[in-house]
Amino acid sequence: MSDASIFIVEDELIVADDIRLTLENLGYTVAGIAQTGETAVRQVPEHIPDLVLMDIQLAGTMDGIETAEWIRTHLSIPVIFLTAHSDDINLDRAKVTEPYGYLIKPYDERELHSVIEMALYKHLMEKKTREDAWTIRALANAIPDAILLLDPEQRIISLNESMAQRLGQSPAALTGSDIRAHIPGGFPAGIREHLEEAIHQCRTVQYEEREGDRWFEVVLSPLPAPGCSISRIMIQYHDITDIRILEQRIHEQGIAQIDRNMEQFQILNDKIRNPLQVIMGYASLDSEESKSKIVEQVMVIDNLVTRLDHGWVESEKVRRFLYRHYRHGNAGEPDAQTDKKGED
Amino acid sequence: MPRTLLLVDDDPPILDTFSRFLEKEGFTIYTADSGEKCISLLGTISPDLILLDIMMEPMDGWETLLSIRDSPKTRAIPVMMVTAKPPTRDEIQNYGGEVDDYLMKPLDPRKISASVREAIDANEQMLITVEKLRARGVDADRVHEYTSLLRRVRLTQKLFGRFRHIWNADIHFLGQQESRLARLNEELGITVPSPDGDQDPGGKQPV
Repeated sequence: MSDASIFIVEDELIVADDIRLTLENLGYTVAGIAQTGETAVRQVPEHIPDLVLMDIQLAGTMDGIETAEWIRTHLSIPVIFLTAHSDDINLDRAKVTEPYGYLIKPYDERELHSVIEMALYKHLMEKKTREDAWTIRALANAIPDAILLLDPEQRIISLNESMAQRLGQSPAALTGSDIRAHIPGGFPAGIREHLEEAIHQCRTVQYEEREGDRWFEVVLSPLPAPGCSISRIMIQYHDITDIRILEQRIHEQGIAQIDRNMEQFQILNDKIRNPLQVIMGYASLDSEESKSKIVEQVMVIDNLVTRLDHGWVESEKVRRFLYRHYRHGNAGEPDAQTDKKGED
Repeated sequence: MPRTLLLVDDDPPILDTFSRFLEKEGFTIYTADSGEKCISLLGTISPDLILLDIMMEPMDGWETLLSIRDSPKTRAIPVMMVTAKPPTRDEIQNYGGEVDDYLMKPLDPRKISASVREAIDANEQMLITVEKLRARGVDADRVHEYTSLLRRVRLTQKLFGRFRHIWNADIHFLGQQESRLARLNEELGITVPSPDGDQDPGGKQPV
C-alpha cells in the first residue's frame, strides 16, 4: 500500500507542501495538489489517484464537502477529510459523503499514516465485496433455475431474474414481501407445507412438481445447515421437463423392446411344444416311419432353442441398458391391465 | 355310431399324429389347417367335438371359437382348446365361458381321447339342462349366463392348480365364480351332481 498515489486538496500552499513532504517521507506518491474544489474536480479524474486528502475549508465556490461528494458519485475514490477544531459544525454534512476517515489538525505523521492505510484497506475490501456481490448476482442470473432467498419469517431477501419472471414482478418490488402472498400464483399451494418442513426440521426438502406441461425439481435448503439456527432459506426451481421426456422415451423404448421379446418367446414356446407333441404322437404310434419323423422333429427343436439363446442375449442387452438409465422404480407393469378388467 | 371329431391346427405333423391316434381309438376324424377352413367345413359337417389350436394366422383360435358360438347351427358343439400357450387370466375371463376344455401341448395322446369323451358327456349333460330351462321359459340371456358360468368354473377348477403362478395366485378369482354359480343354480333350481360324480339321489328340485 505504501506506493499508493495520493491527491491533495488544500488551499493553503505551505500546509499542502508540508503534507506532500510527509507523504513522500512515508513512501507514497503525490499525484497532484489542487487549491480549490473546481481544480480538484478537473484534475482528479485525470490522475485517478488511490486516495484524496481533502481540506474541508476551501477558497472558491466549492468547499471540501461538495468536492468530496462529487468525487464519491463520479469516481469511487476514497476521501479523507482534514479538519480544524473550528470545522466541527461541518462534520454532520461531511458524514453524508461517506468519508473514509477524518484527521483533526494538528496531526502527526503516525496518525496520517494509519488513517491513510485504514482508508486504503477499507476501500479495497469494499471494492472486493462489491465485485463478489456482482459476480454472485451475475451467476445467479446466468443459470436458468429460478432462485430465491428467504429470511426465517419467509420474507423475500433476494432473487434472480428467472425467479422474478416466474413471479411476474421486478426484483425490487418483490424484495421484502412475504412469500406466502405469492401462493398460489408464483408457487403451487404444496410449497407451504414443504417450507414449514424445511424450516422446522431444519433439513433440505426436495420434491418434484408439475406445472401445466412442465416438470420442476424444487429444492428448499435452510442456510447455514449446521447447528441449525437458520439465517436464510434458499428456494430453487429446476426445470426437469427435458429429462422427464428423455426418461419417458427410454422407458417406452425399453418396454416396447421387452414386449417384442416376450412375443418372440411366446411364439417360440408354441413352436417348441408343437414338435414335442408330434414326437409324443409318433412315439405312441411306433413304426419305422415314426422313428425318422421323431429325429426330424428333434432337429426342429434344437434349431428353435438356438434362437431362444439369441433372444436371451438381446434381452440381456436391453435389460442392462434399462438398469443403467432407468433405475428408480415405476419400471412399468405391462401386464397390469390383467387385474383391471372387472368381472364380466 | 362312431363319434366325429374336427381337428383344427396349422401344423401338419400335429394333424397327422392326432388323427392317426384318434382314428385308432375309434373316432371319425376331419381336419382343417386354419380357422377359416374350420368355419367353412362346419357348413357341411356336424362334429361331436372340435379340437382347436389357438395360435394360428390370420384367424386365431379365439376368433374361430367366437364364430362357432355365433352360428345357431354350431353353437352347441363342445370346443376343446389345444395349445402350447398357457392361458392368461384375461383369456379365461373373456373366452372361458365358451370353452369346454383347455389342453396343453405336449400331452399324451391317450389323455386326449379320455378328455374328448369326458367333454362330450359333460356337454350333453349341460344341453339337457339347457333344454329344460328353455322349456320352463327361462330367457336366453339367463341360459347363456348359466352355461358360460358353468364352463368357466369347470375350466378354472381344472387349470387353477397348474396356472395359479400366472394368475397371481388369485384364489378369489375361482371362489367368486363358484359362489356365483351356486347362487345361480339355486335360483334356477338346477340339481348339482355330488362331488363323486353321481347325480344327487334325492335331488332338491329336479328341473
